[in-house]
Amino acid sequence: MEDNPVDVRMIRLALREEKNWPTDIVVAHDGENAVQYLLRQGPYADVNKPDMLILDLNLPKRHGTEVLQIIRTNQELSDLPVVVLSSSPEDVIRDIVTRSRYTADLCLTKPINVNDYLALGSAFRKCYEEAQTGGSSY
Amino acid sequence: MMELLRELFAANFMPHIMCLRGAGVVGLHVGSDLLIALAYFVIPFALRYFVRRRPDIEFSWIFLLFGVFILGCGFTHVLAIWTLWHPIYRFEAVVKILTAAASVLTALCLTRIMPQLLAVPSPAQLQAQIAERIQAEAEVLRLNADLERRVAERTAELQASNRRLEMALEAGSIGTWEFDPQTGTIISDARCRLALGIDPQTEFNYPMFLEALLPEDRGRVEEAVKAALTCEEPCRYDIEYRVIGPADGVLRHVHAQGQAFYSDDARRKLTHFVGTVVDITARKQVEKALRQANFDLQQFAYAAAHDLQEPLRNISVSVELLDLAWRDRWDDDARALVQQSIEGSRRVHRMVKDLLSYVTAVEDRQQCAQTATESEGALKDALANLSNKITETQAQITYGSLPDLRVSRIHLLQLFQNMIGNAIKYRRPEVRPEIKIRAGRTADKWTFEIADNGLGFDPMYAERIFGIFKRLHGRHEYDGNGMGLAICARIVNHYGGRIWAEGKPGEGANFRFTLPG
Repeated sequence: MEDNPVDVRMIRLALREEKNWPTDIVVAHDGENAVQYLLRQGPYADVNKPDMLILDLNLPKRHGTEVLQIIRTNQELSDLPVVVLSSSPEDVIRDIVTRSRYTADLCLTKPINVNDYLALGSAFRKCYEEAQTGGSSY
Repeated sequence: MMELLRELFAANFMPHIMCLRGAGVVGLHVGSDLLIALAYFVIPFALRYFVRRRPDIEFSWIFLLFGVFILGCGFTHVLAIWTLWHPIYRFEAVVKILTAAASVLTALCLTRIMPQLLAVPSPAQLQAQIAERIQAEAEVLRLNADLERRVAERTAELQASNRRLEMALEAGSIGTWEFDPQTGTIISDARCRLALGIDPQTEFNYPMFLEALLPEDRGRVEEAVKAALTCEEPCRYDIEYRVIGPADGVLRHVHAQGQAFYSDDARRKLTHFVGTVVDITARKQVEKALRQANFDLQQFAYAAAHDLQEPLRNISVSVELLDLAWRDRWDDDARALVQQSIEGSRRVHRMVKDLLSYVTAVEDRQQCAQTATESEGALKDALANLSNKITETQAQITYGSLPDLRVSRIHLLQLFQNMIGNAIKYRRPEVRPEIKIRAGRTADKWTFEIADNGLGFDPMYAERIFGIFKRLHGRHEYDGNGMGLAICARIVNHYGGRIWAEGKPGEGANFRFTLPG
C-alpha cells in the first residue's frame, strides 16, 4: 500500500534482491483502494488474500492506521503480517501505531539511499517468516 | 411585775442627806453631780452630731458605745442627787449595773479595735501619704504621656506601613479577603470584589462565591478550601479558577492565594483564613494565544519537515539509481555532479530529520515523567550508545554521584549523548579525550557539568552554539548539522532550566545545565 512511485520501485527492487523468496506484488495507491482490495470489494471480488502487507502511513483517502484497524478487526485478515514502512523515524512510526491501538509486525523508516533500501528485502522476508512461526509485533 | 417595780422603787432605806446634814457639803455634792450630769448628757449628743457630720470616720459605732456609757454615767450622777432625799438605792444599783455593763463593753471593744485605731494615720502621716500620692500621680501622668507619645509614633508608623501596603496592593491590583468558615462571611476589599465581578455594595459570603464559580471549577475550589482549613501543618491555599461575575456576567480567570492561621495554644483554634486574589484573565488569554501559536508552529514545522522527507528521498534514491545505471557512460564531471546531488539531498534529508527531532524533542509523548528518573541510568545508556566512539578514541569518562530527577529518561539521555558526543567529536588531535561529569544541588535545582579537555571554543560563540544549525567548524572537518546543542537547549528550557557553556580555544569546554530537583 504505497502511493509514491519511487518507493514502489524500490520495494520491488528490494524484494527482488531476495532471490530464494519469489513474490508477486500488488500495489494499492491509496487507502480506499487498499481497503477494497483487502475486503475483496468491487473490482477486487476475486483476488486472493495476500500473504503479507507493506503499508505506508500517509496514504491518500484513508490513513494507514485505518487500514491497519480494518485488518486487525477483520476475522479473516487479523493474522496478516503487516510491515509499516513510512518516512518518519522508527520511534515515531511505533508511537503512531501504538496510539492506534492496533499492532504491526514490523515498523521501518524508508531509507535515503539505495543500498539501505535494497537491504529491506531481507527484513521483509524475516518478518514474514517470523509471523509464520509466531514472532513479535508492535 | 408590779410587785417587782414596787420593790425596785421602795425607799425603805435612810437617805444620804442624813449622813451629810450639817457637814455643809450637800450643796457641793448636788452642784457638782448636777454639772457632771449635764456635761454627760451633752457629750452623747455632741458625739452623735460628730458621727453624723463625719460619715467617713471609721469605727463610728465605738462613739455610740461611748455615748451610751456616758449617758449611763450621767444618770448615776442624777440618781446621786435624787437619793440624797429619796433612798431608791435598788433602782440606783440597777442603773449602775447597766452603766457598768455599757462601760465594760466599751472598754473591751476599745481594747479590741486598738490596733486598728492606732493604724489610722495621723494628719502628718496623711500629709506624707498625700505628698507621695501626688508624686505617684505625676509619675503616672508622665508615663501616660510617654505611652501616648509612643502609641502615637507607633500609630503613625502603622499608618505609613498601611499606606505603603495599600499602594502596593493597588499597584498590583491585588484584592484581599478574609473568610470566616463558622459564619460563611467573607470580608473583602474593593479590589477583591472587582477581581471577582461582585457588586461593591452587596453582602458577600461563601455560598455566593461558590455560586459565582464556573461549575467545573467549583468542586476543585471547595476541596482546596477544605484542605487549607483542615491540614495539620499551615498549608497554602493556592489555586486558579474561573468566575462569572454576578454583577457584570463577565468570565474572569482568578489566581487566589491564602493561608489559615491558628492560635498558638494547645487547642489550635482557627483564628484567621486570609489571602489575596488577582484577576489573571489577560495573562491567561496571552498564555492561550501563545500556546496556540506554539502548537501551530510545531504542527507547521512537523508537517513541513515530514512532507519534505518524501521528495528528498525521491531525489536521492532516483539520482542514485541513475548513477548506478548510467555511471559508466558519463565523464568525470557528470559523475561528480551526480555525486554532489546525492550528497546534497542526503544532507538536506539529515537536516530535515534533525529539525524534526528538534520539533518533537519536547512533545507530550516524551515528556511524561511521573516517577523520578535515575540520571545515572540515562548516562549509562548514553555511554552505551556512544560505546564505538569511546572505544575508538579511548576517551576517559568519569562521573560522580548523580541524582534522580523528575525528567523524562529520553530527555536526559539526549542531553548526555549530545554533550558527551560533542566532547569526543571536538577532541584535540593526538590527545586522549577526558570528560568529567558531575552534578551539584543549588536551592531547588540540580546543576550538571560536563567538562572536557578538547578543542574548546572562543567565548564569543558561547551563546551562538546553542542555535539551530549553528556550527563553529567547517563541514569538511566535522560531520553533523549543528542541531545537537539546539535540541539540548530546547529540552533544558522545556523544564525551566538554563544551559550555558564556557571555554577557551585549546583549553577544553565546560557545559553546564540546570534541571528541577
